Amino acid sequence: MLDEFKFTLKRMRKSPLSIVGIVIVSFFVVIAILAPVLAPPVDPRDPYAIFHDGYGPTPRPPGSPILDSFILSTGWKVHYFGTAEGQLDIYYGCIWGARTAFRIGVLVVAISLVAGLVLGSISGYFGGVIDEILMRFTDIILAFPGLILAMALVIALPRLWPIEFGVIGIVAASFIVPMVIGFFYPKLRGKRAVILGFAIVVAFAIPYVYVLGSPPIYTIALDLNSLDKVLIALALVGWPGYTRVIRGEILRIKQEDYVEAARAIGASDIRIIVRHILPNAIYPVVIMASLDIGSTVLLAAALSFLGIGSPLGYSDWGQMISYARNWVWTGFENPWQFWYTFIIPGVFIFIFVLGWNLLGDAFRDILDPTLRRK
Amino acid sequence: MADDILSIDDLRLNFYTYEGVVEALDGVKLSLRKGETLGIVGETGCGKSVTGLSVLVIVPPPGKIEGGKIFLKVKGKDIDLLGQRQAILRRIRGEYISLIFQDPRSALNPVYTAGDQIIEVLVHHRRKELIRRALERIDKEIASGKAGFLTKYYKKIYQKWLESPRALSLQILSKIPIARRYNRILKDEAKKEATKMLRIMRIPDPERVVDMYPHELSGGMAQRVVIAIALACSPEVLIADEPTTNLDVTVQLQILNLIRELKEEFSSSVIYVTHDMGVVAEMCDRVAVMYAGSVVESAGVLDIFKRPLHPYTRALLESIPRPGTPFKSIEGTVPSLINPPSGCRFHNRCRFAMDICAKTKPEIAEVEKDHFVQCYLHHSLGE
Repeated sequence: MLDEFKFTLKRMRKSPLSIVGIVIVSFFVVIAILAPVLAPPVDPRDPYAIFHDGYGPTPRPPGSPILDSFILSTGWKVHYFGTAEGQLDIYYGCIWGARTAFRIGVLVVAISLVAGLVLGSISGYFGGVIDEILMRFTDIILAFPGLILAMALVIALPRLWPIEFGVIGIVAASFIVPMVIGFFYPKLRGKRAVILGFAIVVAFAIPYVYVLGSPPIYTIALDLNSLDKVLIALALVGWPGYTRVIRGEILRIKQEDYVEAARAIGASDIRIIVRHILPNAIYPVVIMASLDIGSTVLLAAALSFLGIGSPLGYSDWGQMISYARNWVWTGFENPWQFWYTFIIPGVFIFIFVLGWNLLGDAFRDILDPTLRRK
Repeated sequence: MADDILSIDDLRLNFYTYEGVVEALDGVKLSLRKGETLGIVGETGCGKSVTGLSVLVIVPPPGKIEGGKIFLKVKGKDIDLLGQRQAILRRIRGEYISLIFQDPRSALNPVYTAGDQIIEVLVHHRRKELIRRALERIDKEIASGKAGFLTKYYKKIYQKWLESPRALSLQILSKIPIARRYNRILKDEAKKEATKMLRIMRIPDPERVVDMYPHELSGGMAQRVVIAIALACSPEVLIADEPTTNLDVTVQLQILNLIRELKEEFSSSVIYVTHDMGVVAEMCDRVAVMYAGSVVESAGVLDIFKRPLHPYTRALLESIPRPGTPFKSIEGTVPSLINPPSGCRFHNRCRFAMDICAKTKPEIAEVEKDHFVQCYLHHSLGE
């Protein structure tokens, strides 16, 4: 495995584009990590909120001095990139926006990837009814344009998600009690304990909760801000693609002799999937994931631009562009007077997405098993 | 029969394809005695390979075993493989029965080294033995004072495993990536064993080959690795599915000799699936000739070559090309198994076909001692 990794690195060094990609992505990683140094938060309790220097509607150009005495007292002197509508500091938003971009890109792709790996493996390997149900479900999601579906989901998702520990506790107890009993009665172990747990949940826990209402022990509400909703919506839109790709790969690799050979030495289904099929099926999705991190950020920026993305004043590149909406064209005498309001965040988005795309292309060349070691 | 290690009785297997139901095996009856090599010969598509896969009960879909019995003698007891749970079958596969594949290159997983793939079988089936050895090694290390904190921790886990292999704590531990490192010493022992296996396979420089990936191996070497995987747990029954078809002629001979020698060394019984009569004459003690999904004749290898009784066997032997004689082939083609011919499946290509041949299928009967034929020519009913 280590040799493979070294070999991959060697191949990577030989391709100039991949180096550019790596440099760009690591540049943003550095920005994201050093954000508190590069742009010290004015309000340490909420560093993602872009500070605003008064409430004046007209943007001010790069280099304008800061007027607000409180902000001046925190060490800020100048608006390096100017201000957007409402006197939001563009430099601050761009720096902290890198963190937002990584959070959206990496989390959304990671969630979709894990969901795709699990569901695609089950669907491709076992086939049959499960496959049919899962695939028709992905069809339904893929039938809608991604952006539109994501928009609908962001709007439809509730803001508060109650977590009722009482209900969770009852369900957990239904499983734990049979397992504890299983320690003393060997007849009730493993599968039987789980089945009994299910039986208790269905026969006792569910009627209890529905008839008597949830027990009043610790109900907390998870409060999702609109960025979390974007995250969930994009992951819900993203997983079917991964599931399909992995399913396709697994269907192909399932036919290989070495899978049959693994079965012939007595390997279990899970072992065959995890040890023998997935390592051969993973490369296309690794490529897909690295390309998707860029495009997910682009999608999130689009949602923010439409006003349903991150909360107001949140450091997010898409939202910064949405603040420039009224200032793109300012008449024929001085057409792009407020260029900095949309060009600067636009460049950040552009370079970030470009970096991931270059990296994805490089991965494609390096990891492609048909080109490898030729 | 008492000394049969494996016996297949009336095995039926269908493939459910879009064109229709392919009756791939139609009442196969075979038996394998302890220590012998049984050759299965026949044309392409007659069901040789599928018979091999059925014995391991790993027929891939759309194939489905529809009936029959496969008895394997495990520790003196006959068990029917077709009625067993998967958990039991998984312990039988690789330990009691193993399979050598036709194409060694595609039978090895490209992302693991040759050693890894042998280690996998060993760890799966020989865990107890390996743990004992690992413990011995740890004890030695402790005695010499070299053992670190981790080694002592591993020792505790191994001892726990020997006491109760299915303990909950071990099952949980084996799922956690870093905690799972206790397998390291175990795998190290397995690797030594794998190197030993490769040396037995007459592979030069096994210490190096153990760490090689399949694409770095030549065809012959890859096949030796595949054989090493198959023999790692010294199985009772070894099924070789045309193991030499994809190899060079010179390498073929080496592999054949290897299988023959190893069979003695590991005291296994071998089912050798092939379409090459030359290989059969070289390797086998007994031969079963298959045609369109059933065994038409089975006898000792000398009987088959000297006194073939079934018309198909005769035709098959006549079609072996010989220098100086005109090339002969069997008239007609192998019938489609979606709509197999009625009665005896060979009757429309048979020179001696009678009326009854098209009506009912003959039973396989012992006409001479140890010489079974499925043909009305040698059947009392045929008169």
